[in-house]
Amino acid sequence: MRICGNSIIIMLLLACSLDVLAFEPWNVPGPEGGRKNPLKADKNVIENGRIFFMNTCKACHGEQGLGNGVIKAADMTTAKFQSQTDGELFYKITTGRGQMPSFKAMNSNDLWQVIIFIRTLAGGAKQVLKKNAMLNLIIDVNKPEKQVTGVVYFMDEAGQKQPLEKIKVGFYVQRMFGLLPVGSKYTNDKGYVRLDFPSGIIGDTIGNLNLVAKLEDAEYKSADALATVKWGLPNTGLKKAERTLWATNKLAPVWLILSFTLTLLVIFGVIIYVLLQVRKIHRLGKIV
Amino acid sequence: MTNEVPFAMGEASEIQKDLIMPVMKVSFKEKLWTRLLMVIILVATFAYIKQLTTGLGVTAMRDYSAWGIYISHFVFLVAVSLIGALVTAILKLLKIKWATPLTRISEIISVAAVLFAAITIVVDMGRPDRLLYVFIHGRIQSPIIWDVTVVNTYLIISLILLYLPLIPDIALLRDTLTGKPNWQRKLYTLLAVNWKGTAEQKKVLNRAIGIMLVLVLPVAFSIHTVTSWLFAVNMRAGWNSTIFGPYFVSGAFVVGAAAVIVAMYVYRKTQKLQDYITDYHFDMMGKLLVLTMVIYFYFNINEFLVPGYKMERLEGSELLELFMGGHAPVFWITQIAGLILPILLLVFKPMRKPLPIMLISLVVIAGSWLKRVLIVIPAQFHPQFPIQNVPKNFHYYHPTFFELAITMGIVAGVLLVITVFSRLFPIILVVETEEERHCKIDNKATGR
Ligand code: HEC
Repeated sequence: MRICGNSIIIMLLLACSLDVLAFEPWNVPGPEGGRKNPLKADKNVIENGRIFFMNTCKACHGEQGLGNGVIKAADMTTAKFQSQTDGELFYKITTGRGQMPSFKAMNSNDLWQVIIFIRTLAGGAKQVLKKNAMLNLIIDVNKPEKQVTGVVYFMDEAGQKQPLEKIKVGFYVQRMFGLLPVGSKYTNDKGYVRLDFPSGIIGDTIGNLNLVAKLEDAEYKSADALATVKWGLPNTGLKKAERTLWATNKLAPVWLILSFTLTLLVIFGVIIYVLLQVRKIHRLGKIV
Repeated sequence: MTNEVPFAMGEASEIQKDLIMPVMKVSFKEKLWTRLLMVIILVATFAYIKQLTTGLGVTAMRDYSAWGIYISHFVFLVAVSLIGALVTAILKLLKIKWATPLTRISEIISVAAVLFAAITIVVDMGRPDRLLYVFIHGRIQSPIIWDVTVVNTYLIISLILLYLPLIPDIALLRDTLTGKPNWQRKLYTLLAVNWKGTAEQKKVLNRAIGIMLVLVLPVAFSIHTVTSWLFAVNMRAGWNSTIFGPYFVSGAFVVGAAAVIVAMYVYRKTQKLQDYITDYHFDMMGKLLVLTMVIYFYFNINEFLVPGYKMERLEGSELLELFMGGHAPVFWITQIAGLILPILLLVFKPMRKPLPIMLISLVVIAGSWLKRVLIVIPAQFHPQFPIQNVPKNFHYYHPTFFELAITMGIVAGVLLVITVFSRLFPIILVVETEEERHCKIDNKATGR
């Protein structure tokens, strides 16, 4: 037990120190960085690059390229990152280092496209320009319908709430590794959105779900609105394990275990009998 | 090694001298042949060490084609190994006498093939150091575990079936080859288990052989049937077939018979066995080969015509690729040159003379090897979900130098085991042949 406790502490320390450590500088040998991107940025190229990024890079680099995926990866939004040439990025993507895989085997056209897409991630500055808004959720837990209402507004100079119309609100459920989209709607003239929540989503042991609502707008931003609702199915754990062909070895079907072992017993029984005959031959030879 | 081994007996019969002679003297050609095999095995070993240290990345196997020529070769070797059961068990149980001189040849082919089939599987593993886990953690529900079990069982049974009829011959070697090195004579003494040829010993031995002959049949059929299930229990287009069991088994008898014919030819030439392996044997084996090929052809028609008539979505795309697409040349060559033409040719008696039938058999073997590749590989490129967003080299499978070298090494290993065996033991059953010939003479004498 002690050893176990110690090793957990060590692991925690390791994890912390890893987090603190930034990546070492990564220099590209001179001529390699000079390669020119054969593609020009246009809507198609960016869209293709975005799809490629979401399929291949997002897991580590995060949806916004902040380097906050399942592992800590390079932040692509920093000025330092963006100051690199396309050729340097191409070199790093095709070479790889440490946990960054080499994507040499990929189609190079795809890689040049994703580089163009990566340039659009630099837009951190644009986000600052967004105006502040508020997003609140109203849920009547006493009503039988599973309905969630969102209100979107902003505060004018006089401190009055002003509703915002035609703003997209996305609704999600928090899952173990991310957000599960359950629907999105635009606000009406009073700043309201209403969503009929789907049933059948599995929650925690008593059926609680963590609801997340996000403002998805180019002009306004707000903090995500959170709520816990008891609209899910209770998670009762795995069903009682049955004997099936796809179960673990311990739960193999009885008929299979029986026929397998019986066949083997018969075959090896006969083999042993035959080998005993050979011994008999040996003994008979001695007598003569 | 001294070549002039004193043949310590005036009483040795002509037959004994003929058949034991090859064990006494090793010809220069044979030495050269063994060296050649060893060189190939050495190259393969280097290739394997490279594969072991760098990983399976040195092969062309990727996410889609996760099975390459190793597995094809495994299926091929399992197929070849079935011949032991056919020639030894089926023909012997049917009391077909002409097959007697061929039994040991086919048994050693079986043993060598199934031994290296097992080795091929280990070669295909990325982490062979975890081989033991297959036995510790394997799930009894998985056909792979059934296959592992049945391959090993068949290996044991084939070894016993090779050994039992060998006992009287080993005793003969023990008594006659007095000039051989010590270890070899000790080996003979050990393996001869005090054989004196008494009536009682003969009775016990014959009974043991009889039991094994019956036992080997179901096991032999299951080894290849279970191997076919590794594919057929999948939903995959091209493997999802209910006749894979008999399709594989019948195909196995084809290669096996062809392999025995080639071996017969080689032994007849190198060991001067014209009196024992006669033109009559080639003629009969030729007929047997035609029979197995016609049955296999029948299963081929079922396997391709029925799904080809329906052309169901994935199945259809897979078949189109075989019939008209990238795999078409290989497919039609194997079907026509490897199956249909040999049947047509072997129907004619002159083609069943030793040399032509040996050449035809070589073509049949090559065709059978390619056929296994065609069964294993193309089906993997027609998965239920489309192949998307993967590197270029995931889209096809072209075996690398390493895979080819290692596979060649495995072939050489099979041949080496057979060669070494025939250096230690006579390839034709000496005592049994002798007794059968006496029988014939007796029959003539008594006018029966
Ligand atoms: C398995 C996780 C993982 C995936 C998938 C991944 N990356 Fe990375 N990436 C990393 C890590 C970790 C680093 C930091 C490596 C270092 O600096 O040692 C990195 C670094 C980089 C860098 C260099 C950053 C710098 O500091 O200059 C680029 C460019 C990059 N990644 C692009 C991509 C692209 C494009 C993709 C998708 C095609 C991708 N990565 C997919 C983990 C990943």
